[in-house]
Amino acid sequence: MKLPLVSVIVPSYNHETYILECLKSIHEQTHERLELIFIDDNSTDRTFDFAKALLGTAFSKRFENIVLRRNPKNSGAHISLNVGLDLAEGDYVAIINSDDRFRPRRIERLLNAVSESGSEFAFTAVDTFSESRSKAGSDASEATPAFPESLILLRVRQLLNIARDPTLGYSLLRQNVAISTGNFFFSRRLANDIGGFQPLKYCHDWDFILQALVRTQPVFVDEVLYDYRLHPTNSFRSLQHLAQVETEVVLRRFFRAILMGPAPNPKCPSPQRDMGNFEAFVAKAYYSKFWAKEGGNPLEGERVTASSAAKPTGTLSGFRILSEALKGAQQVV
Amino acid sequence: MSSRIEFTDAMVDQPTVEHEIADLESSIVPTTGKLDNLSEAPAYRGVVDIFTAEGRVDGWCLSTSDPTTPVSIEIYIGPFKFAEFMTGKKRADIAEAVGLPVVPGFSNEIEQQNHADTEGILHFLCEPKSLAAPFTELVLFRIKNSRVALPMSPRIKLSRDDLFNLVSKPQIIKGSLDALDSKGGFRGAVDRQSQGVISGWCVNTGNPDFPVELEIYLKDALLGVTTNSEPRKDVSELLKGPVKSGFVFKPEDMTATTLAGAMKVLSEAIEAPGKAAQMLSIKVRGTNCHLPVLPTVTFTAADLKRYYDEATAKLGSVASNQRIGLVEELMSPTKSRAVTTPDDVKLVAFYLPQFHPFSENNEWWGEGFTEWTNVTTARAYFEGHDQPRIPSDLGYYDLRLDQIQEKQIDLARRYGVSAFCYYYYSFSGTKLMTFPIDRHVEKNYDMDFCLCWANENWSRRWDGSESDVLMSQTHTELDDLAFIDNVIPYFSSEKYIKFDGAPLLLVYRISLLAKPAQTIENWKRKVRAAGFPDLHVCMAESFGLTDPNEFGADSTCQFPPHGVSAREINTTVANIDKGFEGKIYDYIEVAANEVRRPDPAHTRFRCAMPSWDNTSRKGKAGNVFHNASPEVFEAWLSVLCAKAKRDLPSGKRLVFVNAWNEWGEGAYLEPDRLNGHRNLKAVRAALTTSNMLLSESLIAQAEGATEPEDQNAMQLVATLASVNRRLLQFATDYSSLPTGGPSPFVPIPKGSIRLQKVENSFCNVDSLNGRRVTNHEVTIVRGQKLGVSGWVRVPGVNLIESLPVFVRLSGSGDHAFIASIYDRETRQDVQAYYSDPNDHVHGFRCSLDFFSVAPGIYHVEILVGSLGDTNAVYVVPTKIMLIIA
Repeated sequence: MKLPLVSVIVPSYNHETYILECLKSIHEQTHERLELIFIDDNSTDRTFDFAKALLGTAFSKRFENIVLRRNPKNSGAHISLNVGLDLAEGDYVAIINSDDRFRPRRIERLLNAVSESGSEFAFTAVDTFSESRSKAGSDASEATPAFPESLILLRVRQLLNIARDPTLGYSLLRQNVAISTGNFFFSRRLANDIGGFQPLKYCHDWDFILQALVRTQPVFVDEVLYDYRLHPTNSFRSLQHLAQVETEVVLRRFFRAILMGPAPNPKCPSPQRDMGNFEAFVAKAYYSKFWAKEGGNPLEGERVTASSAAKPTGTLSGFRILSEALKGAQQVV
Repeated sequence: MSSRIEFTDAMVDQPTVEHEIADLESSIVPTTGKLDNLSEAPAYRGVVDIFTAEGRVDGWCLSTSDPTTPVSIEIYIGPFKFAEFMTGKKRADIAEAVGLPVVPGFSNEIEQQNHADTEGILHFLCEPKSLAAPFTELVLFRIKNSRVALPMSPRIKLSRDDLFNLVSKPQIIKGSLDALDSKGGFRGAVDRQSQGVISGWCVNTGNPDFPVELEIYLKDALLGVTTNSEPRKDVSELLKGPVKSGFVFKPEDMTATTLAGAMKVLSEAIEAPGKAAQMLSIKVRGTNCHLPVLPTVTFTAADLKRYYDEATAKLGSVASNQRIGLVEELMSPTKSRAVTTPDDVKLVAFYLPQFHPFSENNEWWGEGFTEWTNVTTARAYFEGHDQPRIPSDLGYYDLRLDQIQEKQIDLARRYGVSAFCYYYYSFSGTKLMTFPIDRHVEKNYDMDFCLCWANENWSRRWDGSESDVLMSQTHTELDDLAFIDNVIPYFSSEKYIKFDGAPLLLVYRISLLAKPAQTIENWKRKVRAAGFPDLHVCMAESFGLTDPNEFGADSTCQFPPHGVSAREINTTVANIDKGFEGKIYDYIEVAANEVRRPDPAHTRFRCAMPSWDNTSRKGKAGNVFHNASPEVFEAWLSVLCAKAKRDLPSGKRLVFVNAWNEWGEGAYLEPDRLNGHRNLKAVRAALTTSNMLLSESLIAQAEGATEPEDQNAMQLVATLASVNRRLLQFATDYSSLPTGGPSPFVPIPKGSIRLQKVENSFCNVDSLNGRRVTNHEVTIVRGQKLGVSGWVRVPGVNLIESLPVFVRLSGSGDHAFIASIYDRETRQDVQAYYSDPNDHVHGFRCSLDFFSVAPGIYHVEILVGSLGDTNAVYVVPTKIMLIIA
């Protein structure tokens, strides 16, 4: 039986220093059948040239297919990813950030995981690395680059976050425990059903994995198979309110998807199946306002219609009323 | 020196009690500055020599009976006391004149007293009579506890305006606690600004326990109000008592409006650089007392603006308007997922397109006639009559707008409506109102649909009767055959509902066809010729039509209120309009009878209606199905869904709802003012497995199974649901701590994280499981959870909220166990011990879950993240040793 073809999408932007290391780590994968899809988001440095040069050599022989594209203007990661998804031909898709690295057995392990579990989405443990170590013995704090607090002990925190909730689904509702799109591995069918990545600057990865969660139960492979490169922080703080907006959008899209009807993934967090626990989780995570909005239950402060404020829903009173009515004599039809 | 002013001699010798304010003006008598006849009246002598606009007063005053005792003088402006001072300065000239070493002079800056009613004074000064009055009538220098006032030198040339400015001039209070006197008064200062947080201290020395409210201004933009509620060790020491004198004002304390004001000021200030700290002014509310801003408070406008930017970024308060727009934009209908499989029940709602004006309707009914024309003029005819019906979300919409249909589809999909069945109007070849259907196909909306041929004459009565026909539908065989040519193109859309490739077509009044069976055969032939495997014709059970075989149709579809049964309840409603001729039925009875309805031999698609009332169209001749409610509709629809799942073959499990938007008949799912989204939510609930299960017991009851078990099952479910709701209230109670939930441990190989020790770092565990620590060796069983609370301090490290904190268990194995600490808090009580304001103490609470920790003996340590190296942490040992059994 032929092994499945895996498309590796590389959305890249201004990483000329790291791109060769990144491509090498794909080259060294133990899984044989790979296609490489390189989408450059109009880099201003030599990222695209380096990649083109490298892929013009015997380096590319290892790949069944190579696609090299350059966005006409800088459009954002989600565009590069969607372009890559459109061009991908493999049954499965892996993504790698252009400054990160795969461990050699990554794709092999992930394929095992999905075929064993029947899931269409998998990710692994992540380790972090950086070239710019703080100077030994330096006392001036300016010499030490400040990293965003979210990256501190990332590997440990990924494990803690996964261990925290009863199912991976609930962990995913708090944050993207897969950390980055680079850590995503999924079937192409799933990506098409989801409809690709949304135009969200910060949260397009979280949105994608939550939409995947509705359709399939993601699998966590507890082995470090992805190296995530750290950069000192450029403060994103001024755009934090945008992240807040995007968080609301991601959560409401998820809630909307599970409210529309029974989720194809039976393990997806659901108010029906996890009756009570789901609402408790939503309340503790401070998502109640979003949940209420999607559920059509106005919360305090929102304009309510006269009787929707008066009568709570889901009281089974309709059944009781009809049961009483059925006890009466039947009207002749 | 002395003034020659004519006064009356009337004078009161002894000190009197303070008079009523009304008496004051009339009975206060100015004295004289002359020093002759000291043994006689007046008993007080003195004069105000100088009174400057800056608030400086000079003069003298003494009591002839007791010249060496200082005199208290009060300054009144109008009826309000403004300030008070005492004599005590040397006046060589007076001393010489009197011949005694008296010190009757005064030479002060007027210090506005504590509780001076500044606002009252300013109001008084703005009154018309104040504007007209001479200065001397506005101010009074009264000798305390007397009815004597000091005269003012004619050289004093102040005006009311000067007085006004003086009163409104900010009084800077002292930024120190020396020379406290019995007068009381405010002391305080603004002494710190850090990361946008402004802090300082302020105390009412007369009553140090009393809170002081402080208004914070940036130039003249009010930022907010705060109180002195923070402990300040240095101030407490000086006042020799635990006094809360510190105040803190954080950017988060601002509202969106005040923040906007602040940003405006800061933006302007950035353009004109200068010491931004000068823009800051903090004053005691209700007074004119301003706190001095110490030189240690320095910031540029750009700095402050940046801090406020960051703060608002965290809150998003200023950006809240943007947020709403952004969210709407990002949530706009995107591709939604495939919800139903062929096995699932598919909910189809009838859809009336008559919501945009068109020429024929304009001609017959008047310009702009749409369905809304009737809906808006409806009214109630009896008590509890739900009229008029008022649309909420979509308003009185016009279907010419794409967005309306898109919004409808979005709404429908969200609540489980899988498809619309559009009414298709075609009158002997003339198509009407196909606008929404064409658009659905053209834009390939993410929603299935099918068509129902609304084949009957349009008359003025809208109830199917034939009189006054506006558009005639002649059903000749040829016309009927031509009809199918018009609709076949719609079948080609991938969204058109098909059963195994055969498009589904409904016909409203099949009996009107000239030769139904023959026509249907011909239709099928034409449809097959167009490339489809077949055509599925479904006839509506309207006007008593029930048997598909009679007409050659493949199935029927219920069309309530056609065919439902219920008694008239006109006599049971109150205040029924005298002219009302229509019939009122009980909706609940209808629903119950629908549950009872037996199944026919042929394929029948069931249909429910949320309510029905056509008085908007027919006025007093209309019929009403009263006592409708979303709850009963939900139960009725749930039963139909359960039956469809049970009785219909996979791929054909359709349930209809009359209708999505028949507003003229009071039969609609779209939100209205009375019910909001509740009918839509009923649809969604009806499709759930749990509702279908509940329906089983209702169906069983209807079929005559009166076994108590079924009743008990429903009782039990209802009880469980109610218990669950109550438990949920406890579970979501925010006051219970810790809110983060239990924190599990994960094993981490020793050496994979760099541990750094910091000198003088300290951690104290205050309590375990709510009880104070009595023994540092703690034994627990693995399944147990342990609640830990305490605090940690790492000198030199600002323990900001976003720095992660962990608990680490290190024992003899080669793995250590680490758990997250989610809940953090400030610990003012501990912080007060440490004098360095940069030395932060952080409290924590956690509930640890030891499930994955191997038995053994462990030292408990706290790990604090560091910003410099993402793989290094500060480790602070605790005294706790944990023994896990």
